[in-house]
Amino acid sequence: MIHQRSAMNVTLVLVLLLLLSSPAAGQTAQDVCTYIEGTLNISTGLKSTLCQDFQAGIARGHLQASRALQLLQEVNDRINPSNQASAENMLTTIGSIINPAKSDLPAELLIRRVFELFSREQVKGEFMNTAAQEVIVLSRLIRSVAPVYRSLGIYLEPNVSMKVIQTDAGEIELNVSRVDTVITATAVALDRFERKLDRKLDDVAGMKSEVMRELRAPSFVGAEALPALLIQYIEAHTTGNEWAPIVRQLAADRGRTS
Amino acid sequence: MREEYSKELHDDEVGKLLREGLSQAVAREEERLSRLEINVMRELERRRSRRRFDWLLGTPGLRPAWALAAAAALFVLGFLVGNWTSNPLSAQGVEFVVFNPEAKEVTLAIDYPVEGYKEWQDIPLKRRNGLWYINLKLPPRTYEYGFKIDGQWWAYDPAADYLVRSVNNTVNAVREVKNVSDQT
Repeated sequence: MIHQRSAMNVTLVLVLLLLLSSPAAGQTAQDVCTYIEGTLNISTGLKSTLCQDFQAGIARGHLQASRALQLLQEVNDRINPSNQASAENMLTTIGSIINPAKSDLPAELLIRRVFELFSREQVKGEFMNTAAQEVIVLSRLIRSVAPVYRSLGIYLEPNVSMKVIQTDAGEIELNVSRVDTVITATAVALDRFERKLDRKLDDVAGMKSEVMRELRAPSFVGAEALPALLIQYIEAHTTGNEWAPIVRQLAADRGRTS
Repeated sequence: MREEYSKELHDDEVGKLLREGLSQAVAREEERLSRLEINVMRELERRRSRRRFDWLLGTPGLRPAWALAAAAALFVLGFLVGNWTSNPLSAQGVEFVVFNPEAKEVTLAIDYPVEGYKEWQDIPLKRRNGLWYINLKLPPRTYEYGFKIDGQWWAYDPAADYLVRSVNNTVNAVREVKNVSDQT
């Protein structure tokens, strides 16, 4: 019995050590700020703003500190004099998206597009300008999606972290993570729809179908499985027509008119 | 009755019978003894010949031939099982396959962290006879992906559900992994 307890204690200590020694363990918004202030190779004047934006966004729950550090490190690895302005533009856009005092929105779609572009580089930093442009385009997409859900009551005021909305089928509990998942999933779906080789900009049924599929099984890091009631509510209160102008704008932002 | 009979035999007759009986017994023993040498020689030869094949036909647990046979059988079984489980067309999960006999290295990049790899990180494919493949256990959702063939991006995967434009003027393949219950 004593041996069993000892073995359990040793196992627990080992597991704790393993967790504590993992790179993501204990990373906080303060660590992100420390990295921005001390290591990130951007203009000194921007550091304070960026730090505030990221700290506020992380505290709000729009972004994990570990994910923010991953992004900042990947960007910093690629910054050079020829792309520094693009890198700064990209990071300040992301910062202003997640800061509750500015946009109060999720930035996961933007971050994953940055990582996608970085992964295709033959030379480190060669797609920084493209990434910065794409981040601006996707931030506009995120900002366009949010008001559609706001009209359905799916939003939180910046100083509120949870609320309940009443529907015919029952009550739906909303928190930052759920609202972020709804907005990001919708933006992911519309972005994917716009990039389809055979897409038609007036295919509203196709847009709705893509959005609902993504809401049922979100395909991005940090997504939360949404309650069935919330998905049913969105399905019942959207037609696809609300997405069409957003997709057309997205296509136009990318220089594709048809 | 026996006493009367004994009484009827004369002494010389008894002696004659005893002599005949003894001489027959001696003759039988002589014959048996004369064949003993042949039998011994036959037995020796039989045992010698059996020993010649003992290593092959002896007790299975102790004989090297059986051990060799068991090892060979295990090897063949292991080979068949290994071959079956790593076969790109029979394993479970989601298959990603590229046929390119000339390629030196093929990797998969996918837009979600899977099996210890970060999103869009290069996941090496296994190679067999020009076929590059990997089987990933993917939760149901939509995945964008592509392959790097000797460092060059390629995503015109015939197994893709559809293709989308990628922001750096290439394409990504898209696979929709559905719930097993949805597929039936």
